[in-house]
Amino acid sequence: MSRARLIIKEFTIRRQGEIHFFQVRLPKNATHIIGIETDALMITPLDVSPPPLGDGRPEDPMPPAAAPANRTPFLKWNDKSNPVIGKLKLQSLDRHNIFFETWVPFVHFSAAMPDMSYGLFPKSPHTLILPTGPRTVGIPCNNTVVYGMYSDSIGEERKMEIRYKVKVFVWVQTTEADKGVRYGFETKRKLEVKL
Amino acid sequence: MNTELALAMIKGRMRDMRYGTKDYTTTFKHCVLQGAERREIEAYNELYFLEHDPEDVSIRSDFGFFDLSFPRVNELKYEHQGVIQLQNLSASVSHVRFIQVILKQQAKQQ
Repeated sequence: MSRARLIIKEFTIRRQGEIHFFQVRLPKNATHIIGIETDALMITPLDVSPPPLGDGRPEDPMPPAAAPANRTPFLKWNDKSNPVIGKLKLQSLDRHNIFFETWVPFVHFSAAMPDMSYGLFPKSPHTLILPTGPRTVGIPCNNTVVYGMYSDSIGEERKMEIRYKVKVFVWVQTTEADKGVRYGFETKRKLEVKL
Repeated sequence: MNTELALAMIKGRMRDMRYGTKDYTTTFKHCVLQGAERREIEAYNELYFLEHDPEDVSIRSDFGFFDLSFPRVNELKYEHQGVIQLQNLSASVSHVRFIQVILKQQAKQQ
């Protein structure tokens, strides 16, 4: 008899290149970690196109009046790859090294015009390239704590302080019955009054 | 962190991973970093425990980070493994002392 439970850990990243260590507390009757899932919520508004990276070359001396017009198509998404915000690593006390590592992606919702460059209905391979859902790990756990380490990368890439929340979903298998926790008053018989 | 605490942590950590006291050995590793030197230590099957709080040194590993001058971190880790990157942040010589935990061959067969 076993039952899956979902443990959620949430933390906020506030500074550029921040490294955040955290612990995920598991229930005492957890036997296995089944899967890991992540989610991110951006608090700081984010531009669609990242600012150009400085390559050390001097600015174009051309006067602004004669500068070429921006020929970027109006409905085109300019990101070349799936946007990620940082790297997540998890470590179990029962093991030597990390057992899970991933780049945390996010879906960039924008209030601008939608991306129509891939047609009306197909999803864009650049923004939704990763399937959603938990990633299977399936490791046994004898301890009730999982260590986590998260390092910010989007702030480092854009050279700005970006504030966002990261959620880590840990699916665990417990020894509970299928129907959930059975409390004592459910299993005990009714009190018999002896006269 | 001091030596006694590090040895107690090592004992508990190895017990959690189901290794007895005969399954591993501990050695002391004292790294001398020249000014602004970078060094990498490959410790895939080993554990490194910091024995003190080194100043002006940045230590990064697969699941560890230790840098007293880095303000954007909420915790510092004394246990390191995987590829450990040492960087001397000062122009003078710095010292880093580790307790290295090495698994014995018999432990692999368990």
